[in-house]
Amino acid sequence: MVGIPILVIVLIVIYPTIWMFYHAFHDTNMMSLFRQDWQPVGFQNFEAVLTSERFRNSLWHLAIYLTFGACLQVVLGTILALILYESVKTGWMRVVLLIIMVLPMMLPPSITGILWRFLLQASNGAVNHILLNVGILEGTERIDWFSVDLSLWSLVIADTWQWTALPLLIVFSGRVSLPPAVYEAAKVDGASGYQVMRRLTLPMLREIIAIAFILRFMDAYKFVDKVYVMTSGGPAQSSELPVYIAFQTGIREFQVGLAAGYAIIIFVGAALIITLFLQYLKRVMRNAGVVD
Amino acid sequence: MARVTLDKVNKIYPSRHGDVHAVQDLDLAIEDGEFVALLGPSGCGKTSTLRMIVGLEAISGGVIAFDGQPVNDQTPEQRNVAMAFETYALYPTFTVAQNLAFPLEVKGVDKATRDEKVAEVARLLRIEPILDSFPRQLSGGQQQRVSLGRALIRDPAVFILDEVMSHLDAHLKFQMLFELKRIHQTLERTIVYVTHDQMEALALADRVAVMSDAKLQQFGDRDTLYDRPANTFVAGFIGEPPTNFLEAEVRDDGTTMRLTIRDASAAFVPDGPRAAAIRDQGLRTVIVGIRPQNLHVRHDEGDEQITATVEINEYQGEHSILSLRDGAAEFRAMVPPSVKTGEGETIDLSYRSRDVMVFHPETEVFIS
Repeated sequence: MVGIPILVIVLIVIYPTIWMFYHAFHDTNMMSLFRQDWQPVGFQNFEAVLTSERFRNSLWHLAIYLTFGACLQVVLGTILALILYESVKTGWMRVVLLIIMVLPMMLPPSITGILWRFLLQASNGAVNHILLNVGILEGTERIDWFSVDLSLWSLVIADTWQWTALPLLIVFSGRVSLPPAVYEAAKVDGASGYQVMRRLTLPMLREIIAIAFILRFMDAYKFVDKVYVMTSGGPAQSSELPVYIAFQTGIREFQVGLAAGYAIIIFVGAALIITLFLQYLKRVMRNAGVVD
Repeated sequence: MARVTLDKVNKIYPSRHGDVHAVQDLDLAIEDGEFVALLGPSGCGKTSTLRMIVGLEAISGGVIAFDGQPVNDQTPEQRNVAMAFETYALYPTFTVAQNLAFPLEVKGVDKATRDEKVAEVARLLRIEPILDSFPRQLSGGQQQRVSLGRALIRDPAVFILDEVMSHLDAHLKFQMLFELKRIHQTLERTIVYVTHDQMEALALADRVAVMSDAKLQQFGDRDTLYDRPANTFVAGFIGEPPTNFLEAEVRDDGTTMRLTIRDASAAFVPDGPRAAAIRDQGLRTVIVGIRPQNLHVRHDEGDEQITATVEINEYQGEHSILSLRDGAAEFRAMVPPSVKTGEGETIDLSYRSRDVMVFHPETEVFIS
């Protein structure tokens, strides 16, 4: 009985991984696959990836996307969670507001992407209409949300709209579980609201916020769905992220060897970052007394 | 420094299953510099009372005043109270030193003064070696002392201490009782101390407020509580082992009164004033209360005597507890461990007639 799951894992995970590593060192493409004939090329694929300007640009896009996407989501989520906790005390009101805020997260990411593609349309998108109505835009002025300068930011907006609720939920539940007696002690000690927030609440939530960030980071690193449906990486590759290039190269252009090179470099990057996160989590758990 | 007065204070917690009346018409006057204990079993309303004094709980009715000034609408900060919590409530991300300094820090006291005060309090509570530790690294007893220290470091009008010794082991508790008493004598501050442990309350407090069922049962010093308990609850709650209560019939021939225990042969003889009071109220039956400590094997001049059968002779080190039976009545006596009277044997016990407490059979109020 144990054999079946092992067989499935071998078939869908281990075999393709080995296959990928093998082809990363070959010049495999559609024709050579068809002819069952490929030549070893050493590290040429990796070299091509690392020297490609397209890849370097995509890393820069990823950096922007992580800083302004993932970070913004965590900061916004934390602020909203704390405001919700401090200003809404009625139980059912909290639940209703939480549900409303979590709704975007319930939509499939691709559908969200399509939705935002409509909302952000230059000529008759809802966003430009609102900006026109409140007077930020005048006359025939329109913001082209999918221009070279803005398309990456459109992705950030759509993704933030969808995912801010996740850090919000995590931080809110973290805040709920903080001991009320500590807050009473601070009240008796005469600490102001600002002092309580700055010296007590945020330091006590530090680890929780870090975990929310790690979750958003992991998701953002492999972010491809909205890129695909909203901008297709364009215009002029201005909103491409590394994973999207790997997908394009492998599935669209069928340059299997090169795509395997991309995949392995992305994988190594992820492994490095995850190792750092795990180190941090270990420290957190040691501080919390979970492990020695 | 403050006189704390509670005038007809009420606390009602609304709930879906009807209101819970946690504190009912509580009157209490705590003098300036007095050490007062609120004593009672769990759920008696003592913690609600304390939280209303601190200002963490809204007052549903009545007035709490510090030095005659009502403080009902003031925050804990405005009332200038310091509190040590039963759950310690230490700031988890601060070291012990930072925890102690926080009340001063929020008041804008400069670093040098803060450090000086922290060192002083740490010396007083013997927590100097752990000043750089975090709360999670400390034992319950250490955390409790830090929590106490955070209250002591301030210069408040009133100190409020909520069950601050509940997590200390017996040895440390003894030491801390002594320290706390000394701190009170040096600082001469008003202290309100909440506990369910009568030993702590009686050892520390100038006066003890005994609470039960949301009401104040009695407020007095230890002799009053011990010798003239307001009712059977106080008589039973104060003292270990608890007071024996026996239903008795009044046999009175005009000169001597005997309180014959129902369904038994023994009878207690009350002293003159008490007998007169029973006569005045025209009672036929009463509840007799006699403390196990007041039943002796030694016979002094003028003592009265009763005889009972020993059921269990329980050796407890410094004394033995005898479980006794006389007819249907059961009661206990505390005797020296040298008494070896065993099961089934009879024993003669002496008592002074003024140690016989008498309570009204229905209202259970003390008759003096």
